[in-house]
This record gives sequence, C-alpha cells and structure tokens, in this order.
Amino acid sequence: MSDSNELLRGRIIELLPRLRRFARTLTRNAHDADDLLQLVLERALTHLQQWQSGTRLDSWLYGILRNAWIDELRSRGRREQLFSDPAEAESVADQSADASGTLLIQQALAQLPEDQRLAVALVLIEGLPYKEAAHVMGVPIGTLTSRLARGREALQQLLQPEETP
Amino acid sequence: MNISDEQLDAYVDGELSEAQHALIAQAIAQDVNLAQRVARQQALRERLRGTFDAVLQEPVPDRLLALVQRAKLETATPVAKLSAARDKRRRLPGWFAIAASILVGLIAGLLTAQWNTGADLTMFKDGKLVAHGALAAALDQQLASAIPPNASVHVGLSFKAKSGRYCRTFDIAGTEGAAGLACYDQQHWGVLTLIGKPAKQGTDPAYRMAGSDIPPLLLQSVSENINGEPLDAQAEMRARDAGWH
Repeated sequence: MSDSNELLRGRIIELLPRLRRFARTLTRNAHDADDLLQLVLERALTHLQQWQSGTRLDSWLYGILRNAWIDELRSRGRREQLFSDPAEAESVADQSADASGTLLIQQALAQLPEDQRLAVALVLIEGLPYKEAAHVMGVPIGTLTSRLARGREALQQLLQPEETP
Repeated sequence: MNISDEQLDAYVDGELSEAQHALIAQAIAQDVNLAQRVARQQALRERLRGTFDAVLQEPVPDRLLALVQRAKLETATPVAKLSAARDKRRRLPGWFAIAASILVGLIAGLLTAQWNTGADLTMFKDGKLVAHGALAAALDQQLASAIPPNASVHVGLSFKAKSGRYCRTFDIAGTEGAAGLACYDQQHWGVLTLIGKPAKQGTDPAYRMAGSDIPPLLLQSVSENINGEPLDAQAEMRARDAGWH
C-alpha cells in the first residue's frame, strides 16, 4: 500500500463518526446503519483510486453510502421502503431515543419521501453546502434546494403540535 | 423588502454571500414576521442536529475501524448485500468471493466486448452487473421447458433463494460461451455469478443446459443460495406470470 493510501485511510477513520450518523439517519436502526457502513467502506477501500484529490473525501463517501442505501431499499422492496405508518416507524426507531422529542423527530423524518430525507440529512444534519449535497445526490442544485424546501416544510408541519409550549 | 422562503432557507443554511447575508440580516432585524420564520427554521435545524449528534459521541465499532486500518484488503470478507449480512447466513470463503468477482469482471468485459454492437447481454447499473438485452429478455420470459430453437440464451434452473428472490441459472451459447446465475431484484436481474465455459466443438444452436452441464462453480453458487428445491415447470410458469415478484 502506498503512503497516500495510508493517509487516505487515516482521513476515512476521522470521518467514521459522521458517516455513522448519516447511515443512522437513513436506516433509522443502529445495526443496519453499521452493516451499511461496512459495505460502503469495503466498496470505498477497493476503489480508493477513483476518489479524485481536490474533491471532498466526505462527499465521495456520502455518495457511496447513498448509492448503497438506495440499492438496499430496492432489494428490500417497496413493502418496507416507506414508513407512512407512524407505529411502524416507531418500531424501528433507535432504541436510545428518549422522551425529549428525539423519537418524534425520528418519526417525522421517517415519514418523508426518500429524496427529501436525503436532502434534509445531507444539508441540515451533515451540514454539507448545497453544491456538495447536490453532487452526492447526483442532481442539480435547484433540485436539491426544492427537495430540501419540501422536506423542511413537511417536517415543520409534522412537528407543529410539539412546538407550541 | 420582499424575501422568499428560499432566500431565508439559504440564509439559515449559510449559503449566501457576505453582502446578501448582511442584507437579509438587516431585513430580519426590522421585521418580526421574518425573524419568526428564520427562528422556526433554525429551531428545526437544531432539533435535527440534537437528535442525531448523539451518534458522534458513540465509540466506532471495532469491526469498522479494523476494516479501514487493515493493511491487506485482500483478506477482507466482502459483505455482498446488507440483507445477507442481516440474515447472518453462512458465507463462502473469502477466496471464493474474490475469485468469483474477478471472474465476473473478466467475463463481463468479454461479453461486453463481444457484443459491443448494441447487443450487450450485461451492463453495469449503479456499480452492479445486471442482465441486459437478450439475456434480460430470456430471464424475464423464457421457460426451461419451451426454449425457442434459435435462442442464444437458455435458462436452466429456476428457484427461490434464501433472500426470498427468484433466481435462475442461464447459459449463453457462442464461441465464448458463459453460464451464470441471476436473481431478480425489483427491476433488474442482478448477475451473481458468471462463469466462462470452454468453447463447444461446432456450437450446436439447439444446445441446451442440462443439470449435469452446470459448471461446478455455478453449482456451488446455486446450492449456496437456494431455499428448498428448484421450481418445477408449473411453479416456474406461475412465477414468470407474476413478474418474478
């Protein structure tokens, strides 16, 4: 292994907590999230030469994670794809969720269509700039911002009762 | 000053230039309604971050760290599918997976090269090898009991895999023939195994794969994936008519 690969590996290790967070947001389950991330790391490490220096390593990894997740959804089938039933969403919500509204947020997020959830996760949770988030999702910036706006509005609607003290 | 939701979102997300940012900040300071709209978006951002930031504090599992730190990637056992990992089913030894993926890559290259006149039998879709053209059509429609005489692709065994999906073995005639296993995955036949076959002496167009003609590597792949027995002719037809769902 070359030195540059060793260096890249070090940078990937630093990114692991954030990648876990993104995977958790998408899968809504700690075990699935880590299994998904393992798959992503295997893919990334075998294709390290495909990462272009000068571009953001985190975006590249988020992109692989997003693709792997879409693949996983396809193979699970539509049956499990959308958690329109809040009770079902609750059953897969993270066990560590407590009463401080965490569960409520997870449920609300679980009700968004996948493309809106991705936009929300990348920009509002992962803090990526629009340009990078659009790149990860493989869409123009305008598409990203409109998905983000719709996701935001849907979340605000779903969380509204909670907001009035 | 008229400010759109989009501009406000961009303000909250830190996407504006310094000058635009200052303009909006000024407008917010003079307009309670605007200030409330911004506060609402900022609160959402904070609630989302607050919910998921807990993950950052958790220790990263050793298996993930070890995977990245490992100097020799060749020894890693790939997780072929997340659902497979969840099922915790018995895995093939690492060398087999690697050998198989190399074979798949080599043969896919050959097939694509051989059929590069717009008649590719496989293609890469989202990084995965899937059936295309005549191969996809045969996997979709062909019944093992009624293979058209001039078909270049012959399906063999059909079965339900442990993953719940339908899988079919196939055989591609030609000077550089190949055999493989594909499983239906929503919209595509994902090619799990693809194995080159020695050229037949004087390729017989009516050549048809019988059970004994399945190459050992392919047989191993079938037995690894199959759940129960192969479909009989009636079950095969029912599965086809139901679109392999």
